[in-house]
Amino acid sequence: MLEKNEITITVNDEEVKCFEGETYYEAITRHGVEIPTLCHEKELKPDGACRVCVIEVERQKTLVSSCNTPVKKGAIVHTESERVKQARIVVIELLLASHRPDCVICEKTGACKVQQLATKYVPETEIKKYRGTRPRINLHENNEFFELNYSACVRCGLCVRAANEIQVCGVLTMTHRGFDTYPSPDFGKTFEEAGCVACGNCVAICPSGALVAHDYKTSSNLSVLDKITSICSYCGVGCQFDMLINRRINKIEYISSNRNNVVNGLALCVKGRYGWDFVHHTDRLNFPLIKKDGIFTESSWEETFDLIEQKFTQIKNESGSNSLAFLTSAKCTNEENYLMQKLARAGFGTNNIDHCARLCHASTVTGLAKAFGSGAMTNSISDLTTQSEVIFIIGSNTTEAHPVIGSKIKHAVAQGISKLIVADPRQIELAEYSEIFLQHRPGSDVALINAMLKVIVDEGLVDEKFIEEKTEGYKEFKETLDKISLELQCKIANVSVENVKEAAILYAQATSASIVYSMGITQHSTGTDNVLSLANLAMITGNIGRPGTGVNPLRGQNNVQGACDVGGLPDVYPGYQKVSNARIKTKFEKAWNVKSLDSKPGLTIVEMMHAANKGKVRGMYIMGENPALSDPNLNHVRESLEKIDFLVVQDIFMTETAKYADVVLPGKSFAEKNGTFTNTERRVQRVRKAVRHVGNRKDDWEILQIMLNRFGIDTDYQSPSDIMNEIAEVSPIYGGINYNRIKNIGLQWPCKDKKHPGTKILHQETFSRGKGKFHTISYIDPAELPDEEYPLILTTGRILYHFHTGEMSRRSKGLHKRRPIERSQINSVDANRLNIEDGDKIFIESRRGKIETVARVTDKIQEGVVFMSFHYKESAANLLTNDALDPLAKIPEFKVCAIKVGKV
Amino acid sequence: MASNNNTSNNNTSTPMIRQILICEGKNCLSSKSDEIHKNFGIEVVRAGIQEDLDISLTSCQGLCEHGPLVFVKPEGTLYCKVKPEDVKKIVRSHFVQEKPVKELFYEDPKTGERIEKYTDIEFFKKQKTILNILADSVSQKTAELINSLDGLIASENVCIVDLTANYLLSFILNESCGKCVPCRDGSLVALGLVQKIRNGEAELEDLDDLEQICLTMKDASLCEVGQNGAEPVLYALKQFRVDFEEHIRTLSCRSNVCTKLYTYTINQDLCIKCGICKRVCPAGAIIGSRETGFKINCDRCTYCQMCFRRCPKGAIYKSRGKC
Ligand code: SF4
Ligand code: SF4
Ligand code: SF4
Ligand code: SF4
Ligand code: SF4
Ligand code: SF4
Ligand code: FES
Repeated sequence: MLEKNEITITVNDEEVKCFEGETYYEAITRHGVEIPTLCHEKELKPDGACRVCVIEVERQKTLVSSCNTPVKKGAIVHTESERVKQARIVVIELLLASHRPDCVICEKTGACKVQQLATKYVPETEIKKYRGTRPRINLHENNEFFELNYSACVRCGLCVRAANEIQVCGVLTMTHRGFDTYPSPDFGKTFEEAGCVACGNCVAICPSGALVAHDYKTSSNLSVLDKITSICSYCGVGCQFDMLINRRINKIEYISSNRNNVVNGLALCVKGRYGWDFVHHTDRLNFPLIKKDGIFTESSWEETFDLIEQKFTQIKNESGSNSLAFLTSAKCTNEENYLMQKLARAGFGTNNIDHCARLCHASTVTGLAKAFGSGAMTNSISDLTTQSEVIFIIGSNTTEAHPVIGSKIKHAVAQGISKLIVADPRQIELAEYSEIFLQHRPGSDVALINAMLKVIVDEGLVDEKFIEEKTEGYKEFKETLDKISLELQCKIANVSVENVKEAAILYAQATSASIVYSMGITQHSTGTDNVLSLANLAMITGNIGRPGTGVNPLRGQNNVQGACDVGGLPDVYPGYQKVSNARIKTKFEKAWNVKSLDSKPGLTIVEMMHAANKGKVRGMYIMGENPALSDPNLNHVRESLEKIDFLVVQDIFMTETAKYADVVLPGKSFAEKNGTFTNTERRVQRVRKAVRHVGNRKDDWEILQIMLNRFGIDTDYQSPSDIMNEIAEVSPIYGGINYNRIKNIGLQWPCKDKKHPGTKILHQETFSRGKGKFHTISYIDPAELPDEEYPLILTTGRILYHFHTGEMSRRSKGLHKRRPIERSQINSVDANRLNIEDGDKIFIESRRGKIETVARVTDKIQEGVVFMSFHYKESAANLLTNDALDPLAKIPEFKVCAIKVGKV
Repeated sequence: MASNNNTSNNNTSTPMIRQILICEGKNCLSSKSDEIHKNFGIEVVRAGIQEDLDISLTSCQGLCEHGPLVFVKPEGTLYCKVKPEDVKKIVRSHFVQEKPVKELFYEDPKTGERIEKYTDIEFFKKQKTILNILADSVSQKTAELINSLDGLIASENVCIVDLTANYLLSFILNESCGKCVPCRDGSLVALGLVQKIRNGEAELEDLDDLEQICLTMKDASLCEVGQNGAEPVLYALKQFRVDFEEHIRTLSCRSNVCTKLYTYTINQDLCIKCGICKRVCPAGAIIGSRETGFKINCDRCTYCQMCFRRCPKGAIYKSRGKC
């Protein structure tokens, strides 16, 4: 980076200090002088199109636009001279000339930037109302989420720039020239046909009433709305946004971009921006329910708690603490998760606590803890997407599962910052942006990575110094690696040797190379091996501990990182402190004021279900989880839930799981509560209460506190903030975190004390465990491979428009309309052989179950493989999946199972 | 391929999109230019070439007696007297086989020769030179050019208001890229104001607005196209302000060029009541009979000059003032 030289300019007769390279706009507004803008947006490259921001610079022939002109030393600038004012007025009037004249009935009235400019800068005496003609545009876009009314468009080009620079969707361009120019998708296609993923980023940026969202259209006047900043409750990116609330009717009216955050900026994805309406859905649970003779009946909290107390006490007395099991929730806040595990451990004396992290990143936690000493994303979203020379993406369909990170990666590629290597069994969107695309066979990740490691060693691209200084176990690792054959590994992975070589060399030669992965790596019976292999790859090239490097698991749920952090796992207390460590145990006994905690790790999710099936787990408390749809081999799970003597489910909807419950407790959604979520980059962020709850719901933390009190743990938390203070006390990685410090942009753990600024990049000086450890990994087949009877492989995952078991997203109107049913992807060759056409009803059958779905015939998936999402309960993919487990992480193999397919 | 890759490829590798411009002046409209427009839409889709073509309507380009006119850009072919049923032939032959349809070319009234390109037709040639002079008068600023412009203006059948309007129209069609507001919207609003003057609907304040807009265009446009583009108008306003003012004040055009400011009138003393004018008038603007004599209803007149040219007695003249 260039040294920033300080220079001086004169603005309206005052001296202003500024830096070489910045624009007049930046310098002058920082100094406190206002300059109006229309087409300027912090996150976009300046364009200079609207000319609203013109200023007079002495000795320049014409006025200059301040937003895109760099300052010049000694320049004498006027921002309010007659010349500037006149030009500004004319420009603003001209903007309105080709704009429809009906501001009074426009939805954007009040918030429209053009209108605001006119009111503020055009004196009434100067109002001209020039008569222009509007270009004749016979287009109209009106989709599930927003519409484009050309009559209100001032053709500022912002939407096009947002589409190209933020979302990188390539949907919009300015078509035609001269006066006829207007933003539009190619050749009169609809937005969706042109590839629009409805992120609404172009809508958010539109200054006029041209691009408006439907929820915005029906919203009340801005003056009666309150703005509450909170965090998206869908995925682990943890985007910040503003909820616009109408207090009078107690409703969220729409969600708008929040420009002052560091995670996502103004970008959001379709779920975050338009998928919030489940909060007000009529299906929400409003009262505690007790199942009486098979029918749920509304009852009072008192009665419900009495029943729970009686039943759980009875089970505990009859069969011991470990006959109870607890599922905490990656959707709930850190505070709630903390209380849940405290309830299990302190209240009942069992470590049988787990949550769906088991199903997504258990192998990450195990694997990275073994290799590095800490099982979280090593780097941050910001350095990953701005400073990586090469990004190796394996087993992550980033643009659908972590959309905002996906677009940031696309942006990095489009800007020429990063080159991509993509390895995935499916030809995912990012493959189109990649330098090298490796379409390997599902489950062959270890073989592929070993092949890359082999190339790196053979080509002498190993970072000897890094290995020598910072790691251990390299010798043994290399000995085994020397013995394997590159050709064989490539054959297993079904990729060409040349491609693997090219990829390995590209990765190893980069000055900063990062690895991004997700459930394509973890959800295997060899998940931990996969993760360890990636750790090997990063260490052998010294790509760890610096900006733009690292091993970066993208966490799935909004707070799956946090739920793990605060102890929602059977083997660790909050802060990943081992339950088996006697010193730690004593510390928690003291902190929680209990006599004795269990020192044996508890059961994991799938083990709980097995134990329940055998009658060993008799009572279960499930908060905000839906194992009856999310867990593998559903028939078995449902059978187990059936067998449980007393099941308590706390949720916001009557989920598939809740139907099996004896007692259902109505919880609150993210919009109704205070707390914190920790996103994938370890950033603890504030969730804020936006609307009052309706019905007889209770705060989840309050429910848990009552439970704690009833089971003998004396607590007196007044608010979630108190709970966070306790978390900070007992877990060193959260040591310095409290609500005051995370008001705006949050803090990234480890954050040891109140002075600690948080940690952007892990393992900078040394690894968390001291030295990084190489592990010798050999390829093992997936647990179930195709055979004659079940000739195809099924792999599962997410799609953009829905989330997890669909309880929230499928109750969102727009999202549901866009993707109402499951469309399972099958390769055209397979489809042809099976006589299946696109749109046909098909069945898919595995050894564990059979479901019906609709085929999407495509070549984006390789031959022999079928892809299903697991969002739809009518076509529940997990009836088919295999519950074979990774021996260490106990994560099930969602990503590979053998199936047969046919037409219905 | 990513869709944005696609677009960028398109920008560089595919040839420029062709334009079909259909004249929709009043006169051409009466000759079914609407239907022609519609047929083009249908035929290009049938031929599967809709993506490479842009079909739009254009305002009157003159030469109405040969209408409806269809221009093809960028090659510059002009089809005259196009009938809706000719469209299919034009699409198949011109755009699919790349063979322009000769029988629809302009027929030179003197030589009878068929001329393909409108730039080769006298009428447009003349228009073009005047425009060029006006534009060049600014960029080159040679005394000689200004003199020749002054000469032109002084001559009988050129009007500075009309010239300015034509200049702005051509600027909008051919120069402005449409990115920045002063140039894109400014030129259009300026044209609107000049047209107001030309049509006798303007007030004196409009001249100040016009000047203000052009000054802003010059001072605040993003690039030189817009900055220089305003100069000819500013020049015209400075040098010939009286002419502009005269149009506004007296609602007349000294050179009888601004069509809304004069009417075709029949000098009943010269008229022999032959009725030719009524027969040739495409707009049905002439009423009367051989018994009662003829009168021109200026509300319906499109100023096509047909009657004016064909009257055997030269009885039709331009009378100053609004209709
Ligand atoms: S749609 Fe909105 S953002 Fe896009 S050009 Fe029009 S006014 Fe600007
Ligand atoms: S909504 Fe998003 S994906 Fe669609 S055009 Fe706008 S920026 Fe692109
Ligand atoms: S990327 Fe994830 S966190 Fe961000 S808006 Fe979308 S679903 Fe929400
Ligand atoms: S001044 Fe330049 S950039 Fe602006 S519209 Fe005209 S040609 Fe385009
Ligand atoms: S009256 Fe004469 S000039 Fe007017 S439309 Fe008829 S023929 Fe043409
Ligand atoms: S053509 Fe001339 S002479 Fe004949 S009727 Fe018309 S005006 Fe009279
Ligand atoms: S804000 Fe500077 S030109 Fe638009």
